[in-house]
Amino acid sequence: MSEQVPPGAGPGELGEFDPARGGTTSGGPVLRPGTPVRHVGPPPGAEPPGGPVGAAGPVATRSEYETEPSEHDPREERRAERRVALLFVISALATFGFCVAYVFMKIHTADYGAAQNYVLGATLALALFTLGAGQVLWAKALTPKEHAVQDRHDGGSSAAEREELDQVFFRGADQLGIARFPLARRSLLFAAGVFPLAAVVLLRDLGPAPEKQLRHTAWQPGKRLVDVETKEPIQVGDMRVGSILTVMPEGYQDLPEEDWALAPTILIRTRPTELRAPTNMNWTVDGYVAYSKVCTHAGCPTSLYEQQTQNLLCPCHQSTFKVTEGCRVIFGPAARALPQLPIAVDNQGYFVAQSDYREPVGPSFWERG
Amino acid sequence: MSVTATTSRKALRAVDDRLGGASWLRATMNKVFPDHWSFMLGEIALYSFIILLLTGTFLSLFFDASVQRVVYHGSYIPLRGVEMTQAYESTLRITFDIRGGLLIRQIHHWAALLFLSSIVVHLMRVFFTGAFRKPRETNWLIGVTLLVLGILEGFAGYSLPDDLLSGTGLRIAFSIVEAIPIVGTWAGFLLFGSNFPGEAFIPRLFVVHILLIPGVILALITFHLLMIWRQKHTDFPGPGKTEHTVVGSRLWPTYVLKGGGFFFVVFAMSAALGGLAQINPIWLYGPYNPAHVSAGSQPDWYMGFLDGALRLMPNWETNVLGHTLSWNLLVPALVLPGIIFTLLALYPFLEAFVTRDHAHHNLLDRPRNRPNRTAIGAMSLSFYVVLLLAGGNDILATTFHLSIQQLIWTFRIALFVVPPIVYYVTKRLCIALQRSESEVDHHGVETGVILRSPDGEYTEVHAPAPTPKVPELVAVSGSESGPASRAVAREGRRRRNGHNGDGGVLGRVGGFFFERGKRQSADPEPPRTLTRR
Repeated sequence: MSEQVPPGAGPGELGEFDPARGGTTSGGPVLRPGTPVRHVGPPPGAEPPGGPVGAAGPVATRSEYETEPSEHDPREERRAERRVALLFVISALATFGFCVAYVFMKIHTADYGAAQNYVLGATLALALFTLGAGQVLWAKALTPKEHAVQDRHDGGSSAAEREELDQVFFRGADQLGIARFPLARRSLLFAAGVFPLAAVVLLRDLGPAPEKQLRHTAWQPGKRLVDVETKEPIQVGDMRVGSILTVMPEGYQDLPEEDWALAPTILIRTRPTELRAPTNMNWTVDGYVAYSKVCTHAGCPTSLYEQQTQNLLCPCHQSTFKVTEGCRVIFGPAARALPQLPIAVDNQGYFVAQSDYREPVGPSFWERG
Repeated sequence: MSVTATTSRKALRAVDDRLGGASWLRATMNKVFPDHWSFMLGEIALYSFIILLLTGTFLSLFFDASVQRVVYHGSYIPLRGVEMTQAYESTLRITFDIRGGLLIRQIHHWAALLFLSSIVVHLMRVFFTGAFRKPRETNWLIGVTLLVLGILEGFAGYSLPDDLLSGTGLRIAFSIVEAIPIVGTWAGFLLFGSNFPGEAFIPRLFVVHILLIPGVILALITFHLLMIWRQKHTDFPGPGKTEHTVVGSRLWPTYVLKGGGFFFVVFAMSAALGGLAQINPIWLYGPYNPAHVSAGSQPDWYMGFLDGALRLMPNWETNVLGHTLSWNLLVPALVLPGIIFTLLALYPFLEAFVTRDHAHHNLLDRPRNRPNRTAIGAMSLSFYVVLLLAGGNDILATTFHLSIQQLIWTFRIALFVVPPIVYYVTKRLCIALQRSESEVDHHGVETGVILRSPDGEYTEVHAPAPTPKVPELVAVSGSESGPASRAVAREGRRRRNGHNGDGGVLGRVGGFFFERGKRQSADPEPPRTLTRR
């Protein structure tokens, strides 16, 4: 922060209050005669460490600190001090209050510690606020107002300084021989350029190759559909017309989550006559039809079913799918219909999957095709 | 001499003995800062970051970033016996079984919102007053980087508890990564360590959230402050203010006391919010399960514009040579924020290029005196606000009983119609404000007193313009800032008046940028900047 160190001025510059630069102008605060003005500048004749600053204007860095004369009524001042002190005392009391609440208030209560949280928050806020407000009040009421002016150091260094820098830099560059040794230069660039490959290669084992994982789910031929809540298989007749159930492949909970995260499926019971193309009727059972629950837009579970319109709505971005028409998109950002799961009924009357989904479920990806 | 004074003197001596920093310390204490409320907005961001570090350290003592599955036996009865990850379980423990845990967690979350809000408002202050101009472009770039990092950090933070809401957010993030052409699928699997959701991601995200991003943010904030220190703070023009000086109060004692006090006030606000206003009640959402979602899923506000963009985007997707391009994810989630933040970062350079203003500026602009910059800013904000509102369209629809489809179409149209209108209105407003001011300047204030002259003519008496109460708001930056900015202003006028040397697009754009209202430029008087004496 050498810029803080005034780089020197002619002795005559010091302490002059120049109205044209940073001083008072008409309409501005006028210096009262006899105002105690303290000038802090460099010792006269000090060697400028950085040379002249900027091309235009005087070279001097001036700092002028004008402090308002202390006209404080001592009684007024003491009253202000008491106000400040009062705030700090309140702060300390609030801190004690916080400690007391921490120790004595119960957390395992019927409201799960909400009362303690309120009290802790309120006391902490009070302690902090009065601590801060006291300091601000101190600054405002007890310290003298000041009107300080300091030079900026804009515009970079002097031409001579820049010239010197150039010389140092180019002398060094010349000694390095950047221009003279092209082979060394180019091979350095090459080596430095290929080096990041090592870092990239190191990242390879962060995860497995995607392979076909996005094309398959945990559904397999003959896998029973189970209710995601009860984990019980479902029989024809378990559901009313117009109702909807989230189902999973039986035994999914024993698999790692990433193996079944694409498997959530919704089983909907419609009137058989309502189903229209492009619903694949061979994959339905008596008005029961199953679709992937994973939205084809961003992968949220499409879980809002509107019985009246038979629309399925994704709560994340409002993609809307028509259940009776192969879950085609009728609104929103999703581009593709929800894939249909081929279902059948096994010999015990339980719903089973005929196979896995015949197309990748969930959001699109580059290799999807 | 009192004991304190002796001790202080000893301490000062000790520092100087070892570092020889007496002159540096003196200069530091004497450093002058200008005084204006809007200069404290960045301070709020700084202080909320410190609060985030403090509360985050406390939370990291108890949080367990693991997706090991456990059965909950804690004190929150509704979730007892439910299987969940340790990340979620330990968040519940912080909430219900650690005294003050909920308070600190909620302060942390509120401070994060405050951090990003204050960054955005601070950015608006810097933008509309032209504080980003030379020599402060680098600090603008650092600021934009901090904003982006802050958004990522916030998203990483609220994704950690592995509740139903945060898991849904991560599901969307995975889908967005998947949609990146060529490398998307690989990138997703490498980041998550498997197909979504996997076991690796939460622990990795934890490292990103508590080490990587905060480390970079801390370094950048340090650099941001060093730059302010070095370049000195900008100030509004006014009597006694020049481009070459800084006017205000000194660091010691004024700003040490005021700044320190303000830190505690900001902390107090966060603590009050954390204690009294519930935020992110993860126990109500339940643990994440890919088969479930809660209706009305809303991200934190700073992610809202991205969510809105995702909601508004039409369902475009193309298949090219056996490959899928999901425009419905790529455009709103990657292309759009890419464009927004690139333009934001480049704005100082674009403006300097167009106006050819390469002078140093330490005095700020009044927004009305830069009608086009102000209008561009207002236009961009309106675009952002439409996206933000669209991100809450389901809430709006249920609250006001509107059709979600109609609402989305309204927002889709508004996104393109509202910004140009806002641009035009803002610009006209700025020019009108300039004119009314110059009117008062030239002709005085209307008094409401009507005089009839002997020959029957009625005239209103105008009083001379009063001395403005806040003089620094009236003077125009550049009016006393030396030949450089005068040359710029002259250049603008020259272009506006059609005497354009290059006659190219750049010249016309530059002239357009300096526009001050037609009536004024048609004024036979030599054009001048609005300055009230």
